[in-house]
Amino acid sequence: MNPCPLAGAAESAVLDAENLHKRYGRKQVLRGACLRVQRGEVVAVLGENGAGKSTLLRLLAGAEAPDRGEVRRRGTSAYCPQEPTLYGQLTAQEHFRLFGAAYRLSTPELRRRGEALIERFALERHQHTPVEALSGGTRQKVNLALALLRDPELLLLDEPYAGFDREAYRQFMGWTDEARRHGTAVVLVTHLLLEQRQFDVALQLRDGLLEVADG
Amino acid sequence: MADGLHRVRVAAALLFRDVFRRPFSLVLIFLVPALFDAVVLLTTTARTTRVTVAALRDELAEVNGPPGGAFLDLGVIDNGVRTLDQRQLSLVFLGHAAVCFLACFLAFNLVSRRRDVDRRLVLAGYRTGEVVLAKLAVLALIVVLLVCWQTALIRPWLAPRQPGLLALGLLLGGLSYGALGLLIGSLVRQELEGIFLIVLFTNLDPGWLQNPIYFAQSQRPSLIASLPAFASTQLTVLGAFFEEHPVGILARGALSAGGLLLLAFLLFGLRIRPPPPRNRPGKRWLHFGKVMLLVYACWITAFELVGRYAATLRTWDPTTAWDRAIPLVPAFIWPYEACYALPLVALWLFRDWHRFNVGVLAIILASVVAFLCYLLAPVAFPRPALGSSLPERVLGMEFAVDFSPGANKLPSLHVAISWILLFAIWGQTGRRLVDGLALGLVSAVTVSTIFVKQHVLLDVATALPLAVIAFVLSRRLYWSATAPTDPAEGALLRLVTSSGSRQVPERPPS
Repeated sequence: MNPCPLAGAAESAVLDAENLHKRYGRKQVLRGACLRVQRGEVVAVLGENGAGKSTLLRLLAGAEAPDRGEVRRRGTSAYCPQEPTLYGQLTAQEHFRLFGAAYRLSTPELRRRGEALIERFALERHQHTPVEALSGGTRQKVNLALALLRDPELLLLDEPYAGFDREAYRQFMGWTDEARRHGTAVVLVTHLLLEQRQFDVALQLRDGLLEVADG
Repeated sequence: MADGLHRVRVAAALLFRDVFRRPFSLVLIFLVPALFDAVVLLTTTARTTRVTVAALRDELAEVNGPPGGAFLDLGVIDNGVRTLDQRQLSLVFLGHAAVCFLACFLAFNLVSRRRDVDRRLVLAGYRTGEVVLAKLAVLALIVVLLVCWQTALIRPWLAPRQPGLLALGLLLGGLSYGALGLLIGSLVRQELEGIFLIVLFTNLDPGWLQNPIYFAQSQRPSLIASLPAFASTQLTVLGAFFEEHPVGILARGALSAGGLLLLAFLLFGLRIRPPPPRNRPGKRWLHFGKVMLLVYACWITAFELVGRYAATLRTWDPTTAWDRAIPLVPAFIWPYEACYALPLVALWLFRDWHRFNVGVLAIILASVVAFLCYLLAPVAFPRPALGSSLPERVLGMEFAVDFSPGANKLPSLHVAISWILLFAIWGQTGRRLVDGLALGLVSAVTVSTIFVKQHVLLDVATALPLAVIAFVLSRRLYWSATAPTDPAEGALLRLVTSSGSRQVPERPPS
């Protein structure tokens, strides 16, 4: 088993993944990947196309089971998949209602968080339009907003700003700063690291293993 | 509970909007049935035609219950041959086919393209059952809408004799084919393949074979009667033109729609649920699958040897007056046959492989006791005569491969092994729904042995305590020689070789 690239006690970690193996058919995607994330840490997972970043995140989110290894999450978590995963004919507001019920949010809490997200991602004009009629970038904003709606202790985001304009990207990075201060841990998968200072650590997924990225 | 209901309500309302905001859904629901009816009105005449109404035919009446029994009390008139208005019959028949087709397509659409989002909902915090219930509510609403519209379309051309029965027939057809659409949507990944299957099934069954005109000439009416649209088509036709109250067909239609819906939603639920929380490496599944195969091979060999020898011995008949009063119900052959799939289902549900070992040990123990009984007090009893329907043919195959004049009956291993498997998997998934379904299936298997006349009451009454005692004893035996920290792999072998001499810490079996 390779050593865990992030230090810290396992007991206090919000996410502790050990020795993750995953194979699809003949392709061994993960070969013992290991990760530990503490409260308030923002971790970037980098890797080339097809390296297994999305697979890793699905395992961390519990959307798939590893062939070997174990994932332990403590506290609430939310997951944002890479592709906008939405009901085409529902609006952003209706998605908030649907996911608000999943997160057990009260009506005032749902309204407060929904309004804040709509303002942050400039969705005011689009909030009552079925998402199928929105541009790709706006759909991606709604996709991300559904994960942020929960205000969880751990956020797992798969390429969350693909298709964002500059302002939306800036807003998202502002949000990660706030999340860190608030104690939320974030694991973010990306194939491009635009601003390394935004992250506490950047990890590289290479040959199915996670290691601290160079430079 | 109230919280769960709230989530179901929110999800159902929003999923309904998601379906009906799509203009194509509305076009389908309102335009297609009207188009079907327009084609009928343009192409048919009001001439009369001779048809066979299957539900009024004595041959098929037997399919639904014992001949002359109260289960199906229709009265046979002209062996089901009637003269009907061709145009009206086509309106009713194609109206039913349209409801089936549209329900199937819309149900497919309800799950096929939305599977990833449904999964995301479950991952976000909905229980799988809540999403399933929301989908069921949407499907029910779609079908009700289709039935109302179709009934309204028929009304100017036909005054149904029993409007309620007509609507019920359409409803059951819509639900059965809605369930089929859900099944296809859950199983098939590509949309084109799914649509092809929908067109194929709806054309073959409700769109062609169930046509009373075709049925009149068919050489295989029992084959047509075994298809999902049979009962609902019969109910629709009876509701439109006749006064009879077909209790048997009604029960059959409800069972068929209910069974298909249960299967469809079970499969859909399995598709969207997150993977089990505990790590279950594939190699372990494979290992215990091999153990199961090995045990099965040994068991079937012993069963055959014991049965062949016992069949040569002098037998006694344990049949009681109660057994004689129980009718043969061939439809119970399906839950009876389901027993053979139980070990595979169980294998897939295990999380704690020690429980698998305990289950295997209990099956061995129960089988040894049963084999001794088969040899010491062999029983045999007469078999009923069978008809030509599909369930009776399957039952006939069971009778054919069984020992003659009889052996291996008392106690019923069919029942005992099913219950042992249930005890072994109970609570393994942590889902009450799974436990409840398994309990329902095992209960159905138990009851089926009596109704297909493979066993008598005494066989079942002795099998149940045998299962309980075998499981309890096996659990004690197993944990007396196995520590909780021991790997489950090879534990059975170690149990045999160590002869219980090891000292192990006590473990409260889960």
